[in-house]
Amino acid sequence: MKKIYIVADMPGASGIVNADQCRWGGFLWREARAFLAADVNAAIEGAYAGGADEVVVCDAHAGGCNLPLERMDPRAIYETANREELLPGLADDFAGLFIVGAHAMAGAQEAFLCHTVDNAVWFRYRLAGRECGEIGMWSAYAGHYGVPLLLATGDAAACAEAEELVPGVALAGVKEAVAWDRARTLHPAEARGRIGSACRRAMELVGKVEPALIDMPNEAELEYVRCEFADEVAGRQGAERTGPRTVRRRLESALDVRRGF
Amino acid sequence: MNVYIMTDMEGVSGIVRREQVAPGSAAWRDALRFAEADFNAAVAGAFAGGARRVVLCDAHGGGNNIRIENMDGRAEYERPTGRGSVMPALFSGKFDVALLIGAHAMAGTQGAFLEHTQSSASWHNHTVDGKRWGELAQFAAWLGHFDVPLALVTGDEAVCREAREFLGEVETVAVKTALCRQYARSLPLEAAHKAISEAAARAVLAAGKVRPFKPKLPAEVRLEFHSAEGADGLARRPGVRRIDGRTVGWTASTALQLIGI
Repeated sequence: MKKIYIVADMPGASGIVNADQCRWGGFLWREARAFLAADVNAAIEGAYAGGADEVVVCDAHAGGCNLPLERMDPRAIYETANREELLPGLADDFAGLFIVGAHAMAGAQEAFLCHTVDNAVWFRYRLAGRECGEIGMWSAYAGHYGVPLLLATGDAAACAEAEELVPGVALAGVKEAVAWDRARTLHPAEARGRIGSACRRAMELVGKVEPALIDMPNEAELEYVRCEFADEVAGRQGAERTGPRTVRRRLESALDVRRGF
Repeated sequence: MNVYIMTDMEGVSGIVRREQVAPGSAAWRDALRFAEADFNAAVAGAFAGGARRVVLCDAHGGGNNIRIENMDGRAEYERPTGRGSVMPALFSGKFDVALLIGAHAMAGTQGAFLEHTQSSASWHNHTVDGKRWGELAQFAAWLGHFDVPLALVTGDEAVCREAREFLGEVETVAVKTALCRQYARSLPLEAAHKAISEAAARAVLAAGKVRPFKPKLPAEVRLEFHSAEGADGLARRPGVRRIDGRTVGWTASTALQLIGI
């Protein structure tokens, strides 16, 4: 029984070349949902073609509701993330984690819409002492259940970040950043082909890739863009202020890695 | 004795929450009287200290924070005219001493009311030869370029500390204490106005003893933004180098280039 968990984010979807296309609820976003849907469908198809028995998709961009379900592959199950649980439906019986539409961490170079959780609030995030973005957060969270990251699709910077985290991970680079808010993309039809074949390769990695394991207990540290955010969090239980804009939090397990710091 | 008064709004007595410095808001409109009173106190003090000519620059958010009919009729009033002329009168007139009224601390200062450097929404750190600078040092260096010493700084306790750190022997008047970034506790207005006025008079009387702030040149400037988006905007200007995803740098050969190029 091979279960695959797919996290879908929007900035790294093929066909999306402008920041406005990712602005939830906007006119351009409404149209761009079709690009995301096509990439995710290609990944679902690739997973099944590679031998998956069950696929769960987490619609993770901006709180979810980006995937137009009527256009999505009916074989998969769909859910959204929340502030407490990064990947709510993930469990220890999954064989692998796929990230579709990924973007690089805040501060990355030549990276389309690079950010970590919230571009207007999170400046730099460190997990167990290592600078980390959402790809790293998701793979650490999955590591708690012994689930390895097997695939990432997105721009060249996101792919490089995934490769550094998990050498040998299956990748489908579908675009390159031109500026922070502009990208140059493959044609979505070409991208879908590459995503499909990368997913089939990823299925061959099942059982061969180690999950991302972090020694626990450990720490996460977040530097905010302004002091006000650290002011707010610093008084809370488990949070220690380590600098004017920086707060550190103890992690009992990787399940404590979350969007609400 | 010609006196130049640079002003900002965050460090004005009576202003104790963020909304009061947001141009256009009802709270801001109501807070203009606080700004006018602190500025008038400085003008009156300057004249009492022997000024012949006083020019005041209404600089918060580019100006528009004073109603001229409420201002001391003996002074002249101006506002920044955009990039390149933050304090326009310096280019045409000769000034003996400057005062900075209503100042705030640099971005990343803990326990400072509305700390930021230029833009709280995009600037993370501004450094000159590796040392972090805020607007206080920027203004002082700008004035120094015109051989004008900065002799008085008023604002919250944090910016007064910053002023002593950068300028050494400088008059400071702390009119408030930050409770956190977004809230402050102010001195009673009358006490604040009296203190500002007296300090302004002392600063003007002692003008000849204060040296202009002249950092070593050429100097290496780094501007780190919250996001790569900010760096993109500057990276292609002549002389500007991209240091990393969200940082640009350049070599300043004049003090005016320490702030922008």
